[in-house]
Amino acid sequence: MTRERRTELLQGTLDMLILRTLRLGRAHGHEIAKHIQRTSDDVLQVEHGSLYPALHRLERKGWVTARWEAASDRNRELKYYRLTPAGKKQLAAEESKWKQVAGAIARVMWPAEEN
Amino acid sequence: MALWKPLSRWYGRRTEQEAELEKELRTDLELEAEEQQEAGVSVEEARYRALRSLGNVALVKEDVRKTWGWTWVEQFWQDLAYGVRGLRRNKGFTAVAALSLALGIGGNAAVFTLVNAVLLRRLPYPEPDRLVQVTGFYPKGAIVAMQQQSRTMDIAAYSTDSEVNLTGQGEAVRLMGSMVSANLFAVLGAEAQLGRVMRSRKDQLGSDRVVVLSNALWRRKFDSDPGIVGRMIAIDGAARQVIGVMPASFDFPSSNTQVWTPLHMDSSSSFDFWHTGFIPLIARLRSGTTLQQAQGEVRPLIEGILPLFPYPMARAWNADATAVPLQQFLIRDVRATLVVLQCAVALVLLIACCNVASLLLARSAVRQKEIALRAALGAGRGRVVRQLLTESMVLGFAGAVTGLGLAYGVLSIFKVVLPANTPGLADVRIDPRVVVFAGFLAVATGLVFGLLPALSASRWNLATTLRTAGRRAASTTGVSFRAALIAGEVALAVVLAVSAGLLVKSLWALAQVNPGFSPQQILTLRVSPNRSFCQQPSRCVALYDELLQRTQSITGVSAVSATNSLPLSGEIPAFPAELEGHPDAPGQALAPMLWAGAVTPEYFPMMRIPVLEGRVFTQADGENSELVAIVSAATAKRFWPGEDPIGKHVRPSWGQQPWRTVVGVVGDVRQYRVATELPDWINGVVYMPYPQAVGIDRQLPSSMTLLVRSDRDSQYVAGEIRGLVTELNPTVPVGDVRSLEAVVSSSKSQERSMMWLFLSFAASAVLLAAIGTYGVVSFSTTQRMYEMGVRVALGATRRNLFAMVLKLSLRLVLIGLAIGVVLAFALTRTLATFLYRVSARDPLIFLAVALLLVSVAVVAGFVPARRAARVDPMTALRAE
Repeated sequence: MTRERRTELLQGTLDMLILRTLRLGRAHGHEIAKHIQRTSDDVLQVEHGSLYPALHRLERKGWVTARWEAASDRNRELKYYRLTPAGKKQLAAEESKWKQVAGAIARVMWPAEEN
Repeated sequence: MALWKPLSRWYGRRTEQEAELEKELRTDLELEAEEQQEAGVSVEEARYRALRSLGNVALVKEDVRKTWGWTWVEQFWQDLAYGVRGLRRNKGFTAVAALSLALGIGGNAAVFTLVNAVLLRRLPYPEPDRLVQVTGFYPKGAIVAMQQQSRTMDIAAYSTDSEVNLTGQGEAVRLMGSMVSANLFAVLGAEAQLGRVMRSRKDQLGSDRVVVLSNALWRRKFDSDPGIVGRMIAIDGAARQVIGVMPASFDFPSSNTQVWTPLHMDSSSSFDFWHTGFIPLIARLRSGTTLQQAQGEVRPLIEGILPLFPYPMARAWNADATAVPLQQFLIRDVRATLVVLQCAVALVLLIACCNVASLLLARSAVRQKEIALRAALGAGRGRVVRQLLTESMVLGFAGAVTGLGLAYGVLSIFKVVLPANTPGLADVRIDPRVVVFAGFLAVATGLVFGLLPALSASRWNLATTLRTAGRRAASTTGVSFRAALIAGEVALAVVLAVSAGLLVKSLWALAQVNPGFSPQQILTLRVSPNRSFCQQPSRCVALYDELLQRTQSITGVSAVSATNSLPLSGEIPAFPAELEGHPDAPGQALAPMLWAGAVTPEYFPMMRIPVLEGRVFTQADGENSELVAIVSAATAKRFWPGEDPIGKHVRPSWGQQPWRTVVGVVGDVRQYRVATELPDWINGVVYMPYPQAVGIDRQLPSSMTLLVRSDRDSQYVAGEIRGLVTELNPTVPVGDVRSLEAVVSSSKSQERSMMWLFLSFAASAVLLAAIGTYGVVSFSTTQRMYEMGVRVALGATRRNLFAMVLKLSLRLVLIGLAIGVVLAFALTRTLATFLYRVSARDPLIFLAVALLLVSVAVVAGFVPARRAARVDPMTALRAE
């Protein structure tokens, strides 16, 4: 049996997407996955096998906090994640790094003279 | 319990986390299912889709847990619990495996206990690596000169067997003493527990009537009296002041030394100073000097003192003397024994490992489905290997614990292979180092026998394993690897069996040796008047005359005699001698050394030592009659070949003693050991009648052994004789009461226990090999039942099948045998020093071992072969 997980996202990218999603406010795991899926027009599939380990890793690093709270619409408790100030800083750092890399890749792929 | 609190808090937090994760994933699942339902899917289908989207829940959990840290501890506990559960389910397998390991580890722990206490022992003195033994034996004059002249060493001297009497303290007792130069304790760096040790400045000639007691003697004979220091006690009839008591750990020169007295360094007596009492030396290297410098100094030192001797001393005297590290010197006799033993038990352990590895391989073949299932449920390969290894570690530790118990039980048997006075042997015990050693063995063996089976077990192919019924799927590579293990096991067992066989034959050869006397029905007792008592020979002669006569009249006693040295008892009475026709060549060569027996007339007839020529001694050979002597046959042949020895003359070469006339020749006797008649530095045997037996110290031997033949109970006879001795002289101790047969038997005890040890090693090795062979043959027969069925269906006879399986077993063992014989051929040479009249390549033993193993193969193959022969083709074919 092979155990290759289909990580279609670049290493570290999922963390950034989660942090970005949480900047909109608190969210539980399912919401985060759905949000990323929806806003990427179903291009990015977030597997549970990657999502939950990532959430727990971010919590351990202190970039997000988690609390069990009553769900707003339904009658049950859900585990909501929130961005911490350290998480905000991290998101900014990752965002600028990503921009740099994405820009660099773009310049290599589509050089100016070709346009 | 400082660990408990954080541990329990951690555990509590952990359970909470676990529950939360469970809840988190469950809510996710619910949300997903609800969303699917809202999209218009049936309840059932929604649930199914949600589950699918979540994926492998166990794996998700596992990956989340990894982010928490601590996983390895937890997984270890899981593996441990799982392993223990698995082992408990398979009691038969566990018992065989753990017992195999216990045998291996137990033997190793027992031998290591000895090695640890004897070979690895650091001498209990400060800077022990600066202590050396200066080999050879030296008279007092030489000692003093060497002490003054040496520039690299501080030299001290000690005697090893100066027995003395302690009287006035209850019943008179014989003590093992050591006469030492006053600086001995300073050289060793040893201090007294009570009082003080001897000091060179203080305990000089004139004020040397002092004594130091051993801890054991102080406790036993003086009731641990704290006020003992300063008291006067009677040692050998003379008063000595107790100056100190040594700690219990002090065991120089030997663990049975009970008193230390100063060497009486009286240079005015040239005889005492230069002629007699040659003793060994130890030394401490002075700071800044090396062992090499000391070794280089020894020979010039000895050459420098040769001219000091008042008589011409041969240049060959102590020619090969050197300085050897003391620790190395002390273990010189036991080293080889321990090394050989350690190798033998290592082989047993290796065999046990092979056996357990092969058992595990068989088990892993059966467990393939279980392992495949675990993999399907999300266990990674590393995780499976780790789990299997944990299981073999559990086995290893079970073996180690049982093995330590075993080692504790058999330690006393192992101890007998070493001489009782081996330094360090007294405090042999299972200490933390041994426990660590056993733990190390457990881990090492767990890895050795567990790794390959674990790796091969985890090399699964999920699809095929789960699809097939399991039987035919079991890998054939596992079987061939097991076969190789078993062949190796057989090879090692061959080496041990050959070694054991050689030792058995050697002991048998020893038993066949005629010692030259018959020990049956003879009781022996040591009677030891003070040495000073015999300064007047007639007093001693009268004492023994009276004692022998009175003993003769005890009811039931039929014969009685006395000798200064009992054969095979370890005593070596010897003097340098001059024999007629062999003029002493002073300064050229060393005079021949003769074993000097002092015996009473009845000695030869009682011992049934044959008189070959001339006569034995009679009562007429007294103090003042003509001096006579009897020589042994070998001595006569050596010094007077082709001549009539009767009428020849012999005398001690020093001290201008008168010549003695040889009046008889008697048969040779194994005086020293059963295997060797005499130590290599003794050239012959001479007997003298007791009243004439003055040695080079011009004294009669004071301590004599009584030989008594009687048909009464030995306790009774010994009691009677004790009474007689006390009546004659209450200061004379009687000791060493034992039968002559016991003396002879104990002289072979080391060889005997060595043989028994090897025999039990070999027996366990062969048994393990047999179990291993049976396991492989039986397993592969079961695997091939389908094939057997096909064969029968195609016309193979039962006999064919029987032969086929038996051949498999024989092939395994024969391959092992071939390798083993080659190995044994190369290895048993190391046993040569333990063998008596047996070649290390004795063909008979090799043949016997070969036959033994072939029969093992037949026995191990018989049951599976019969099962194969009885196969019912219908059942076998349908089973698949």
